[in-house]
Amino acid sequence: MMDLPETNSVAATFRDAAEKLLGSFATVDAIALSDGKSTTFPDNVWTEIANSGWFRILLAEDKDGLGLGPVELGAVFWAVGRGLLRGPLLDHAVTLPLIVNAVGGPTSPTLARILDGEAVFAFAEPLTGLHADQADALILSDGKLNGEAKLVPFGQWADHVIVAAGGPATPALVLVSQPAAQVRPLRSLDPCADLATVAFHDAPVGEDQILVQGDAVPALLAQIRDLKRLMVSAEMAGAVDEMVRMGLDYTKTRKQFGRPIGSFQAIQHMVAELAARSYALNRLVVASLTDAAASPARCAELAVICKSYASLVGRYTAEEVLQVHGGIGFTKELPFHLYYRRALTNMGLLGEADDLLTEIGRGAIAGPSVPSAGIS
Amino acid sequence: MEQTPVEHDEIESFRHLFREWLASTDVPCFGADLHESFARQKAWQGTLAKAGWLGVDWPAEFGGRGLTPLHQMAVMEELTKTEAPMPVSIVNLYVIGPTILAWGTREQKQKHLARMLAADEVWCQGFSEPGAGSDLASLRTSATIDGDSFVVNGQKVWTSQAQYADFCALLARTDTTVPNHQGISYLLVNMKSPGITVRPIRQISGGAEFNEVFFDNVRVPVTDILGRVNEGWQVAVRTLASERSSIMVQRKAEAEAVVAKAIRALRKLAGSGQVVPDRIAFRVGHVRMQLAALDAVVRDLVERLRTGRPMDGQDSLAKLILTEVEQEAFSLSFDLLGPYRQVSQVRPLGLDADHLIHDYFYSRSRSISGGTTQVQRNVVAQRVLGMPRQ
Repeated sequence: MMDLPETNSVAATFRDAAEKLLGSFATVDAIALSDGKSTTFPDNVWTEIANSGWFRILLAEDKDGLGLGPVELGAVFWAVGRGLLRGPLLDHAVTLPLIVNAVGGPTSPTLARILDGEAVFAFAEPLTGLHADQADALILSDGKLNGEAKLVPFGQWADHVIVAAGGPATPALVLVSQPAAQVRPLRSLDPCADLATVAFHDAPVGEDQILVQGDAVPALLAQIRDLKRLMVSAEMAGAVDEMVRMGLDYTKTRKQFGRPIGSFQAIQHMVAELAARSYALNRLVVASLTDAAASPARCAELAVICKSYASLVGRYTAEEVLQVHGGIGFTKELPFHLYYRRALTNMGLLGEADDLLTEIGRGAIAGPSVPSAGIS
Repeated sequence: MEQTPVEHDEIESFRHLFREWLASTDVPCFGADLHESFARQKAWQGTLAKAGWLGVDWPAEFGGRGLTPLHQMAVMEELTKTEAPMPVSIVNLYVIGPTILAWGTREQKQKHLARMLAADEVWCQGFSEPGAGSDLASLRTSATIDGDSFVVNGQKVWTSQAQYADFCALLARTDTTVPNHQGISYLLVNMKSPGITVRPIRQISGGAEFNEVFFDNVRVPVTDILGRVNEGWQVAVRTLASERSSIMVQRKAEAEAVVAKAIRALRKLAGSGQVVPDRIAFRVGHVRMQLAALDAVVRDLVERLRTGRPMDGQDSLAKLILTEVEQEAFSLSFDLLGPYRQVSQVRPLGLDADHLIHDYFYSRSRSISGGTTQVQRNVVAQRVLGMPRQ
């Protein structure tokens, strides 16, 4: 169980409330039933989530937010990892409040409606790394938006799209209504992650639609990316916790050779290693969230390490827990496969672990000092 | 030892005091060979103890300061960063000493503890035998009573530093009629007693820290026992969570230090215009990530000690993580040697091949000594996760 620092009862309250809310929707069952079938967006769930205040956790108090931080939001994402949720929470709980903070408040009725959960937005930004494609770059030029975002979470359900656009002059974050975009849903094998390509052909963009422009944009995008990395890690930690629990439970109930398979040493060793890594990931997430809250300047460094570990442990856990289940782990009979798919989706977000780790290594080799941790 | 909550700032002030002392002290470096190293380690430990930096959590009357294990951990972390020699034996400080503190008579404590701290007397631990490793309780070294003495016969193996030891914390069988672990006693044996032979084991790491020790009708006064006859198993295995945590803090610091050295060598290489390939950058990043995870785990253990929150298997889980990470750390540094992996007298890329080769080999013993990884997994599965016992 992810132990939050004892002093932070606020985070614990959010976590418990989130677990209860997700439980009340029976989200795991609903998602299991929906798997493979096309379904509409779960609006009822979404409104309740907005009402829980999750979008306002990172929103500054003077902008009608809760003025809290990564630890409190991380607790929510941990619960989501455990309980599963189908919806663009990452963008609504991270991208949205950080943009609203940057622009000084919900400067348009649209942003206000999105904050209230009455409208849904999608965030369109270019892919990076091996899959980056300059040809599709999102460009704002002469008041016109062109380009294609390849993998936009929940793009097909969005009423609005916030686009991270480059341009001949300066980068910009632009708010566009859905009709201005050509949206093509993609078939996602993760029932929690609807995806679409979102393209723009000479979509007109007025000055009032430009949320942020110029030098402020890269720093804001970096901040969004760092917080998202931390939240995805927290979600992964919750999912890993749940997968290990499922695996352990299975070893108690499944009998072979006249006894529970949990009595075989080979199985015990697999589960022991799973438990150790789940423990380590959960502790790293707690430490990273706590340290990011205390030292925002360190957020980038903390997030990239945390996300890398979450990706690797998430995948390891999913593959190994499948193995513990034997044949049935390879089917859709149990909810386990939903968590496996979540881990795979989350691994692919915000940078591949191998790339991130290479970047960390380059940074360490180039850097002036090697920070070493001490007990505190 | 009862744990009362400690303020973080208090530990940091103490750490700062030690740093200041270190800065104003002549810190020795390791000697060229094992024997010279040992002599320097012993002398340096004496200096540290007399200045009050060892056994800080032991009671003042036995050489300590009555502080907490967290204070000692801070000192050891700082010491590790300096590359100064470590105290002669971590096992003396973190295992044998605390065992005597917990189980010894007043006389035994007064006789041994302060001297152990200062390395005026060095102890070895006579536990494992050729036939009793993972299954330690099956040990056969016997101790039979003859008048006012035990008479000890048998053989111990993996006995660290027996060649230098003044005393041996010995587990011997005193009753063959009861289940294995119920018939063991914990004896305090003077290594100068007649009948003791020490034979060094040649390790693949090149050192000869481990030994075989043969006991041939060795007489040990019946008063030289910790706890009661046949209570030795309890005495030996009751290692406090705080002691395990202290050892973990130490080993984490050592793993961080070896990676820091490797990074410095790579930085120098890059600075001289040579291209450091991506595969190496990746491995550096990977081990940094692993160290971050290990740090978070150790932080949890330490935080539980600091606030008095009970341990609930976390120290066992942590040990699995520690071993994996430290082996990766020492492997990375070793791998930088490339074709020099078996050539110890060269300094390729400015790396101290001699030490790196030794440390890499030594790291392979980490998944074995103090409980093998395989046994540790059994402990986690059965005692922590409640899976069926075999």
